[in-house]
Parts: sequence; structure tokens; C-alpha cells
Amino acid sequence: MLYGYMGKMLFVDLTRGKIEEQELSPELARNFIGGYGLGARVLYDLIKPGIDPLGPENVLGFVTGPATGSGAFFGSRFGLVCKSPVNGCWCDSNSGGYFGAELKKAGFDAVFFTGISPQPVYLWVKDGKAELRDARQLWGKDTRETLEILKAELGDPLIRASIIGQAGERLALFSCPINDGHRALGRGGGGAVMGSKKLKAIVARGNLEVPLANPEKVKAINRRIAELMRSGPLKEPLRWFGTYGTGGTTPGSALDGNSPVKNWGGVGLRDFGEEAANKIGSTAFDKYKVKKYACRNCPLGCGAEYEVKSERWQVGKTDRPEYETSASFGTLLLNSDGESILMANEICSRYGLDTISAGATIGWAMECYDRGLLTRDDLDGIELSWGNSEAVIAILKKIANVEGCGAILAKGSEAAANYWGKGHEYLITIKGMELPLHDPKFAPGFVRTYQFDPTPGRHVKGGLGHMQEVGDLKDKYNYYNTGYLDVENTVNVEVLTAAGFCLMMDFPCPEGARNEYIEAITGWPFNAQQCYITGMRILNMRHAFNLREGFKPSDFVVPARVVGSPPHQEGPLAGIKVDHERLARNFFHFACWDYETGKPSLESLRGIGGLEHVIRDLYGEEASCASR
Amino acid sequence: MRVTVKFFGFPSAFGRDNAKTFALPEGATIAQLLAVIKAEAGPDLDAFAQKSSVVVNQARAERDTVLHDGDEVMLMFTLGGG
Repeated sequence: MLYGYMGKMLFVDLTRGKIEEQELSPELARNFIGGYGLGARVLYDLIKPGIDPLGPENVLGFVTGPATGSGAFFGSRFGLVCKSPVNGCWCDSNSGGYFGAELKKAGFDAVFFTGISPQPVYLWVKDGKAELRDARQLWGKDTRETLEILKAELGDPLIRASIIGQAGERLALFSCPINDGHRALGRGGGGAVMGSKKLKAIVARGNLEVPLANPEKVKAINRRIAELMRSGPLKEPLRWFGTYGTGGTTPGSALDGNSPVKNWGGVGLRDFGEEAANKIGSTAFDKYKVKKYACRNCPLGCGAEYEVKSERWQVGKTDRPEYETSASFGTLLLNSDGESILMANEICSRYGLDTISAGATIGWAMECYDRGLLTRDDLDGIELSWGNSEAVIAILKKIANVEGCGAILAKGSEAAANYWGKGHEYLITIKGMELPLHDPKFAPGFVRTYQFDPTPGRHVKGGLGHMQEVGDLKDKYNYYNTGYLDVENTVNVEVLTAAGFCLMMDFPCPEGARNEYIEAITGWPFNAQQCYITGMRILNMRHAFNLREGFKPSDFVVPARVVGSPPHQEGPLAGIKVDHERLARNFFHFACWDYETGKPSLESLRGIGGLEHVIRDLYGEEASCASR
Repeated sequence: MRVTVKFFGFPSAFGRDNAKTFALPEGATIAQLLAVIKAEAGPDLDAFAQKSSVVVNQARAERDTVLHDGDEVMLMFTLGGG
């Protein structure tokens, strides 16, 4: 009995309209846990190097983990995996809400799509059965409209779906599927891959139970965490987080240097200021709150439904923006018009766009406009000056519809710079991916993660960054021997995410709760050492995908501004220059990766185990056989 | 000496503006300021303060930074993440 899993994966050939079931082997589950770990292992076999990410040979997977739908607190997450159309690298992203658990309770741990459908379709999965259905009537609809039509068509108001909007249909490279109205598989271009396959949505409804090895233990861990949240030392900050969500920290972050400002060229206290900062956080937005909500089995509940009655913007019912969104459409653009941020967030939810890359691409274009590199003629008559909220919404609508200058910008800032042949010096990208809203000059560890996670430009991939944001950490600018902790934090997040947990579980949960949950759900012994080795296996699996594509460390270049070259002259980050090369070398040393080639050592791959196929590709058949 | 403290991302423990002036001995540090805040506002607010970054007169500061009369201190609470 495979506890924590439904034991089945779906493989959907969209070209032929064929659906096949495969058993999930216990070995595969145990070695790669689930989520993007399982996804990376499957896609490594199915995707040949060098294929077109928007062609039929790309494989798109939706993968749950053992925690997803298990009843464990924070176990709502699921992942998307594919080859990224932004940069040809490995791509994964993950989302919360209710869809992941619904897919699993419909009978499947994962669904993988190959080929391209001759016409728009959606996949309908219910209680162990799956079918492709005509989606021509849905093509051209936004994600909210699509969900309502699907509910009516299927006669079930309780369906859950992951849906692309018009941006994904039209292959905007930072488009993404949206589930549960507001939750996004945000980064890396998964929406465009869905669009290229003419796959409008995956729709799930399930009444099956996820088998658990020790359900009483799962409940006992839940009770312990609930008690800690009620009466532990962090009870008030956690209550506050449940009230305001990630966006509650936006004003402080805008001022202390955490949030990049003015396309990473500004200083928050000087260029944005206290008054503006206080207008763009969840505390200012709280007047719009109708009710708070939570993802499935989450005791924190960082989401909220808003109702925005604005004369300028047709926002209406919407959802609370995350910190990343408030900063990308706020500080990055010098935009203190709070309602325009809510409008931008709603456009991204409806059309299916990654809010980080959308805001960052507009930020790049704003700087180019400010410096005279782009003109109103280039931008369809839009005066894209700093802080011009009307212009932000106008250009975002063009991006969402992939029309006019929006068709150029919808490919991302680096592709736009290449198209116009200018503005490269103002790009804030690594390998074509716009960077998230955590400045490494404030928390240096982020730069190693941005540069060398197999999905470059991500803030949710472990490392040192998040722990350096909090409290008194004078040593965060000390680069001595950072590799060990960097690797350890990274592989812990690999396991947490692959298992289907939310990153936010680390705030209230005691050390070790993640591994205890995995033991209770699966029945496998899962201590810290097993967690470390499993996390290393997943990390190396994702990394191997990029190596096989021919990428090497020197392909991943950090923009000078991001690391303080030249340093700020004033403000909280004055004088700081981040030694990103040393952070990277320290990480590579402890990960046993060669700094020039990126190759993991043969000894480390053998020690981790379960990576014989990677050894075969990197060191030859003979070495692989000797590893078995 | 007296310093003004502005709180960002804190519950409104010090009134609508979330700002308050504190009296401190000459040569007091940020760590001593946090101890005074804890004494006045209790451990719940201290949980926010301990997880905060600190800016003094618009420059980065640490827990051992020495304060001066008339300084403006900003405490920014964060849980990390996003």
C-alpha cells in the first residue's frame, strides 16, 4: 500500500486525444516525493534536450505531493513542471488553494500532457476517470468567466480548475494558469505552454480519500501546531499575518531596502517615501476587505476577498494582492496609487499573468521611457512615466491582450530589449527571468538563489535569503562558509515543496514538523538525514535538466544593480556591495557542483542514489552501471 | 534623551499614527530601546520588534547602534516570504 498517494498518474497525448494511466511506483514516490521532484524525474525521461518549449515535444505536468489533500496543515500545494519558454531552462512553479487536493481526490497524483491538440480542449477528471472535452466555447474567455461556464456546463458548483486566460492562449511568455480565482502557478511561462498545447484548463472533482499511514498522528501534529499558534511566543505576529497576509509587510519593506524601487535604481526612503509606502500595503487595503479566506487545511489564512468600488477602475470583486504584487506594481514603478495596484492584480488574475514579471517588465520599459530609449510612438501613445498609474494599467491591458506594444512586452523585458535593440543595461533579469521583489543588498542570500536555482530568478527556493530578512542579523554580510547553511535550507525547501506543503508552514511550525508529517502520511521513516538526501536528489534532478540542455554557470549572469555595483550612496543600503561570486562558490562547494561546468561530482551523485540516469548522461554508461 | 520611533507592520499599540517618543538614557542602543518598548507594550509587541529591521535617521542600524537625542527610529516588521 502506497500511503499518501493515489498511486496513479495520467499521461495525456493531446495530439491524438489519448489518455493513459500509469501506476506510480513506490520507488519513484519515495525517491522524489512528489510535486516538482516527481515531475523532474518524469520529465527528464520524456523531454529530449533542445526541444522547442512551445512545440509538441514539451511535456507539461501538474503534480501533487503526499501532503496535498492529506489533511495535514499547510498541505494544499501542487506544482506545474515543464521546459520554460522564457529561457529553455527547467521550469516549475507551485500554487495553493483547493485545486491540488481536488485533483488528488479525483484519483490522480499527477497529470502529464504531451503534443498539441488540434482544437482547444480541457481535461475533466472526476473520481478516477478522465476525459478531454471541447473548449472552443471557452477560448477567448478570462479565467473567472471560464470557471463559471465550466460550473454550469458540468452542473457542479464545487469543481476546481486550473485555467489559462487570454494571455496564455496568445502565448505571453509570463502567462500562467490560475486556480481558485486568484492562486497562480505564477512563474516561468507555464501558461504559454498550456496555450501552445491548446489546453484551456484542467478541471477536477473528487470524492476519493487520500490513504494515510497514520491519520491519528497527522491530527496530533495538527493539534500541536494549532496550540502553538494560539499560545506560543509568535501568536500575535501569526494573528497579524492571518489578518493582513504577505502584503502587510509592504510599507516597511518599501522603506528598509527589502523592496527594490524604481526598477532597482532607486532608494525607497528617498524616491518613494513614507506616505507613498503606507498607501500600498494590505493595511491600507483593509477597507476593501469583505472576508478573509484560507487555502485548504491552512490554519493561517493569508488570503482575503475584496470589493473595490472605484470610479476610475472596474475592479469590483477581487482578491488581496500578495507582497510581491504590491511591490512589483508599486515601489518598482514609483506607483503609490493603491487602487491601480488592485486593478493590476485583478487583470493578472483574469488574463493569467505572473504579477512579478508583469510589473518588472513595465518597470524596465518605464526606465527606458524615462531615459528616452523608448518613445510614445514605441508604446502606442502611452506616456509611461514613473508613477503614472493610468499608464501602468493601459500598458498592462495591452500585455494581457498581447496587442500592439503589449505583444512585444508580453515576451518579457529581455525579449523586448532584443526586439527594440536597446535598454539591455537596464534589464533586471537572470537568464531572461525578471527578478522577484527581495533586494539581495538587503538579504544577500537571495542572489545565490536567484542565480543558481535550476529555475533562475525565484524567491521561494530556499537558501539564506528569507532568514536574512528577519530581525537582527549583522552577520548576513559575512560571507564566511555560507555554503553549508545555504545548501541545507535549500534542500529542506525542496522536500517541503515537493511534498505539497506551503512555505509559510515554517513560521508557526516547530523544527521537524515537516518530517514528522511526511512520516505520518507515508509511513516511511523520514528523519533529518533522509530529508537532506532526498532534497539533494530533487535539487540535482532539476539541475541535471539544465546541464543536459547545455547550460553552464557562466550563462547565469547577475545584473550589476542587484548586487550594489555601484553601491547606493544613501539610504539603508548605502555602501553595500554583495559578494555574489563568493556566495555561489560556497554553495557549489557544499553541493559538490563544479563551479566552471556545474557538474555534480560522481561521488556525490552515487552517494545520493537514485540518479543513475543522471550519472549515465554526465559520466557515461559505465559509471552509471557501477552505481547500481 | 528622547527618540521618536515609527512602527511599520505592527499592531496599533501606540495609537493611530503608530509612532511614539521614548525617553532613554544617554548612550542607549537599539537593544536598550527594544527593552523599553517591551516593558511598556508587553511581550506580544516585543515579538514584532524582535523580528524587525531597524533604520535610524534613514540609515541602516543594528541592535548595537548607539542612539542620540532627536533620532528618528523606524522599526519594520517582516516575517519573510512573499
